[in-house]
Amino acid sequence: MKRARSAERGSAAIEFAIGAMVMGLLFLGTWEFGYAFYVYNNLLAAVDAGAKYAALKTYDSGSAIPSSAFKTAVQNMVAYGQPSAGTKPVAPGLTPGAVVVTPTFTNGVPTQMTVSLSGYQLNAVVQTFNLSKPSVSYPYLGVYSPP
Amino acid sequence: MLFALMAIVLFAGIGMSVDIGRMFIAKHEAQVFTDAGALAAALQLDGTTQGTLNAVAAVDNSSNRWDLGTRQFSGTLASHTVKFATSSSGPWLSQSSLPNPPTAYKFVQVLASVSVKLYFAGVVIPQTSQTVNASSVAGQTPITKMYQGAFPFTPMAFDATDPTVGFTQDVQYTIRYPSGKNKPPCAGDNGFHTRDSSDRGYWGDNSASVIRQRIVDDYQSGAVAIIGQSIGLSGGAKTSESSYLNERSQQDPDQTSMTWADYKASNTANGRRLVVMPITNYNTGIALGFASFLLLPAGNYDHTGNAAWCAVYVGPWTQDQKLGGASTTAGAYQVELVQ
Repeated sequence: MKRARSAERGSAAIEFAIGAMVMGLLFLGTWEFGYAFYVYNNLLAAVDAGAKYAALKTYDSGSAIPSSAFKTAVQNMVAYGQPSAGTKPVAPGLTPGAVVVTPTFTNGVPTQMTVSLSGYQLNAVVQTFNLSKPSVSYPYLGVYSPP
Repeated sequence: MLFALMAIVLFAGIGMSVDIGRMFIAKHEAQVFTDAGALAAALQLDGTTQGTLNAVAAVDNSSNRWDLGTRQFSGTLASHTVKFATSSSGPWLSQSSLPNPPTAYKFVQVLASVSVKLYFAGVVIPQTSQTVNASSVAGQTPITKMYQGAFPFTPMAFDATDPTVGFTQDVQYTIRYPSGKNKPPCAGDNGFHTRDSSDRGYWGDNSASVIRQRIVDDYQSGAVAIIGQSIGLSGGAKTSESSYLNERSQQDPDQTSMTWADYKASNTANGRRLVVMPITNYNTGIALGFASFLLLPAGNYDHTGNAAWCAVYVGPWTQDQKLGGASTTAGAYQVELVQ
């Protein structure tokens, strides 16, 4: 009788240990994916805002290589939500340097603005994702002012 | 036993959160696609069937993707449609149902639909995928004031009551009158210049530091052109203006077209010779409306001040639109999202 109760206690402990491990893994997985999706959605919103801003901002370069001022303003718009430099990025660890601005020229005038990320590291719970996206393109709708 | 039951519920809840997270992202990606697609399509509308075909192609060729940026909005899991209307509220017609020519069809509706595969939610609900939709409407909408982009010259109208202020397409009108009175203006203008020599067609800030920016860069330097208000004529006798006009014109590879039809059909034209200018009442200096003009090829703007400077009247102006836009009434139109 004594031995049976002791065995029961032991099996409960093992069941708890296995259950806790499964639960822990489930929580970890949820956190991993949930957090990654949350950050990715924020990044998408930021890149979208940056691409819209680039599509409307006066373009002051004569080629598909944007001026430093244009590029910096768009990068800041993505990273901080404003054209000037900020202190709090819209996603953890996002810096203006990770934002790539790619104008498309057709017949010597800008026709499209593409904004994307490059080398951004999304640190989830157990894994780090190196992102070269999101990438968003809008037709250029601003004023072209070549130097 | 209790643990096993709870584990199933928990697993389903966790799975749902993953699937719903993916659906949120897919919805966001679809919205980006329809926003950008609608704008790109609206830029193509010019009142012709080819313009609507180009609009559909602009959406089809979009580089925006879904499913974490990996899939196009076509194929087995995604689709999109492009429809057109004369008003932002519809009714919406597919390209194949449009009249020919599709006159005044200047609004585009883009709808996108994606099927997000459900990996976990199927445990608790009887479906393996969920359709996510997004839609956007963009169009060419009229504007009555311009803070940027307006060219710093103003052709003058002799018939303020005419819907197109008496202007005829492909006829040249004066954008700056010759110095002194009683010298001939450009072909389309009525009579001779009898205004004061300080009011020759240039408006707004004409300080030396901004003239080039105003002509070459469409920079308004704080000046605002508003329909119904004085345009603020400010002389325009500076000879540097002629070199900047020639420079502006030179930025367009098309240096031969002299009519709107030729320019529009040109494979090399990039839109730099097209400018939007306020047209003012010759007698009052009040802005009557905006219109698109084609600058003459480089070298036609003489710096001596004795000759009139001319530009070819095109008609309605549409922002960033080398094709002239889809509007049938005079004025300036911007391309924007309206829904």
